[in-house]
Amino acid sequence: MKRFIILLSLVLVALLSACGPSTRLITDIDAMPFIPEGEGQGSSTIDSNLELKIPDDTGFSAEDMGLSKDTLSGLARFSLDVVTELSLSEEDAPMDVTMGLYLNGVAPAFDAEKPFEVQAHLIPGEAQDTHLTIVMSEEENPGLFQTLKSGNFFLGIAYTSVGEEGGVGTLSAKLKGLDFQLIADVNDISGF
Amino acid sequence: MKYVILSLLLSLGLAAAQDSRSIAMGGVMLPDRSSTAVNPAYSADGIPGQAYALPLPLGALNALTQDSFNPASSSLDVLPILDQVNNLSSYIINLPASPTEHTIKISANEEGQAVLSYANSGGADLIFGLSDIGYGVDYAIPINFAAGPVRVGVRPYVFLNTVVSPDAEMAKLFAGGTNQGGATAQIKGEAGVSLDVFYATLLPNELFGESDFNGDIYVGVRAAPFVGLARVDGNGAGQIEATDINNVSFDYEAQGFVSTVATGQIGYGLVTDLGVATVIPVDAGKLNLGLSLSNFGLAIWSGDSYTMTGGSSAGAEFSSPTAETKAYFSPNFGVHANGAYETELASNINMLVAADAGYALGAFETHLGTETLFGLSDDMNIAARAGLGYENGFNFGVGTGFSYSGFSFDIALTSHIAPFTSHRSFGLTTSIGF
Repeated sequence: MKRFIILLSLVLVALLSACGPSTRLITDIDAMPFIPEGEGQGSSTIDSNLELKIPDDTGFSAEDMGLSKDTLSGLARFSLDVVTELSLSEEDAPMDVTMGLYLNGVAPAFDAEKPFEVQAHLIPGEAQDTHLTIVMSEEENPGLFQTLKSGNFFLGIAYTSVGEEGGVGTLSAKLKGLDFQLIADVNDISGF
Repeated sequence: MKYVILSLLLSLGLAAAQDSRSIAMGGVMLPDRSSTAVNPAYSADGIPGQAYALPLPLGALNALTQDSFNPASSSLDVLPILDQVNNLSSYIINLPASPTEHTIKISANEEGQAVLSYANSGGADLIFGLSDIGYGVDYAIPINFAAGPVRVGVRPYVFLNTVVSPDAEMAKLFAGGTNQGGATAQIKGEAGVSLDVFYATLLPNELFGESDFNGDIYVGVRAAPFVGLARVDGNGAGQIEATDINNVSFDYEAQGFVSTVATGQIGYGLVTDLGVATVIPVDAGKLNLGLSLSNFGLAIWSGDSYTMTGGSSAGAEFSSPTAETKAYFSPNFGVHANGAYETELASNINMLVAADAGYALGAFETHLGTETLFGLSDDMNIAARAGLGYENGFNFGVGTGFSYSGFSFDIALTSHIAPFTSHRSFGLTTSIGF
């Protein structure tokens, strides 16, 4: 992948000499098509210890998502948009769910120290999209950013109920969008 | 380093091929001595026009004032420098700026194969697609003077021409996306000095016998033995394919030939230009027609040849240089045709309409321009000019000029498309003639 990016970048940028003082190379990756079939969704019976994980084992590796080590090595800024569709079976009462995004340097992803979280209020029988956007740079998240740059990381998403109420139905989750944006300075392109 | 660029722009600015009169008329070839470099028939006695037209190197002003031209500056930007180098005699008022963002989008097609597309933003819009992407410069400083029946002189010259040609699949990278494609590339450049010898003459009317032709026909030739100081030729081709996002294969091959006097290698040869020009009285005016063949001849260069191959399955392999002597037959061949009509509109008001079309260094160009000349006295004129042309995009020009007793000062506002972009640059040029 690195060579592909480098070759295209050289043709488009360096070889054509259209480089300015603040030129950035942005790589937008729609990773959804690269997620192994069937691993982007799941469902779980609601009980007092609801924990639905996508995927249900170690998490998605960087390579699963089309992010090779080389693609990430010249990174200056990283952002990730995740969209999941959540639905609660009709027999349940409304409930709040926390979506946690886990990024970890080793498998399983869910062993990460601290997830990025967002809460959703679910209405039975209604599908609801939940969005989470994270932006990282060397300055803001030095430890995790270095992990991402290494290209060795795993990503997982877990849903947990808020509170201790039990339920009678099921919670279904489906990953609808997984968009990465990698930003590098053209001046650093040799390392990209 | 900044002063190196400034000196280069200053010196090459003097070598700009066209004066401001022609530029104001869209770059059209004029039926006078200013066209001698293209058609040697226009060097004949009896052809009107000034002996020397000297474009002022206004482009150097940007090298003095723009931080983007300073190699030591963090604001250095290659795109405006390329545009200025291509238009050395113009002070470009609105220089292009490189895009601030190049975006490569990676997604997948229905078969799950990775598909890439490209876009840019935040500066001059780079134009890519099915068409060739090229860049060329061609400068010469012809200095010649009359010596008996001929004109002799020297012409230091330099040219560089590059072109990258994407195939249909690669072109999709810039529209919709692709997971494979190929491209070929060529580069050709040369620098040297030629000895120019012009001979042009009016054909005697006796040649036409009893025909009804009542015009004048001039023929001319430029013979130019030259010594080449440096030459580079290269071509290559590459293919790339992504079967999935982490599995990309590519391969390429290239051949090159390099000769430089610095390593004791030179080129030599003889090129000739042949030209014919006619002046035919038509009603109240004159019709001028011209045709020329340029750089017809033979060049021999000694140098080193190289090959390079590589790909995703094997690293790059460079061959050892192989000493080689190469012969080139008319390597920079060109052909130009021009026409013009001059007439008197009213007392002391004359009009000229001119057009040309030509092919040289792998590129087609055509121009159309007009000039109206107002006589203020017997030896004082003021001119109004306008024109348009096509040279890697459409150009236009407007301008004026003042002439008095054999001396002229011309000024033009011109427009052109900056290299690699859709950015329209506007420039101001001036020249003096005597």
